[in-house]
Amino acid sequence: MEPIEALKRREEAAIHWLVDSFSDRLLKAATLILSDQHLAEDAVQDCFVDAIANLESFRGESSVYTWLYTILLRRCYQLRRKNSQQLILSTEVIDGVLTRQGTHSSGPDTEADWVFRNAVKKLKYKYREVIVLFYYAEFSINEIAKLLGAPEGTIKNRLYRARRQLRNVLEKEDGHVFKSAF
Amino acid sequence: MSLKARFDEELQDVVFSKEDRARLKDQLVRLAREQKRPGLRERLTQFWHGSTEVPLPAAVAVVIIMGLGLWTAYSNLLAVDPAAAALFFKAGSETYQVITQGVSVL
Repeated sequence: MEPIEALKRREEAAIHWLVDSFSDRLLKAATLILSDQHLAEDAVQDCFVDAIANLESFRGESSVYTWLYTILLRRCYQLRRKNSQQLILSTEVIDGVLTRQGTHSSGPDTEADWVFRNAVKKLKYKYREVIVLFYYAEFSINEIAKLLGAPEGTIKNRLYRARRQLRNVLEKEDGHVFKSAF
Repeated sequence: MSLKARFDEELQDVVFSKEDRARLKDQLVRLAREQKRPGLRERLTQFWHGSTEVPLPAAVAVVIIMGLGLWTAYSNLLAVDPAAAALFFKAGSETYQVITQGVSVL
């Protein structure tokens, strides 16, 4: 049972529940969408601040999880726009330095092993968004349409294209990985 | 393995550290306290105690008692005598005259 009333009364325990229940899930989704964990942390933090500041606007028509996602997507979009240029530059610089110094580790749990994360990273933002919402956050097409404020047909189409792009990327990387994933 | 499971596997290290989580909670609790709007009664009490030491309920009671006293003493001033009012109206209407001549100087 979600403590909505306690949240609206801004009780400390309810705020702790909110952070404990959703922060990591939102962080993972934001990391996939933004392809940058530090930016994702900012997005999640801003998302919670917005949520607390606008608790009155939560009417309980959807779950807290869906409501937080609505805020998170808006925040991700804003942060991405704000940081897109800086992000490209910083990633390029860091990659360049690491390659020159030969510090790219090839062991497990390194960036090189993130087949799916890296594949999602190569998708356009709008495709990345629907892939994460559908396959990672496990929202239905109808819920994604509401979250993104777009018709269901648009979302289905976007998801179809996203899947096709992801398939192409993954097949280039490693064909058998893709077949076992879908 | 499903896509969800693959994502979960690759994102298993993407979590807030204990310190970051605690900091986030503190920040939100502080924000919530700042945002918590006091009710009308609380705000009235706050305003009152900002300027005087007299308790608000006692002050309200005194004002009500004084109001009742003044009302019983002076309420007859507001009473209207219908006969006198009618006479005033009649007298007023008889002095009415239409001006049909003369020059208007602005």
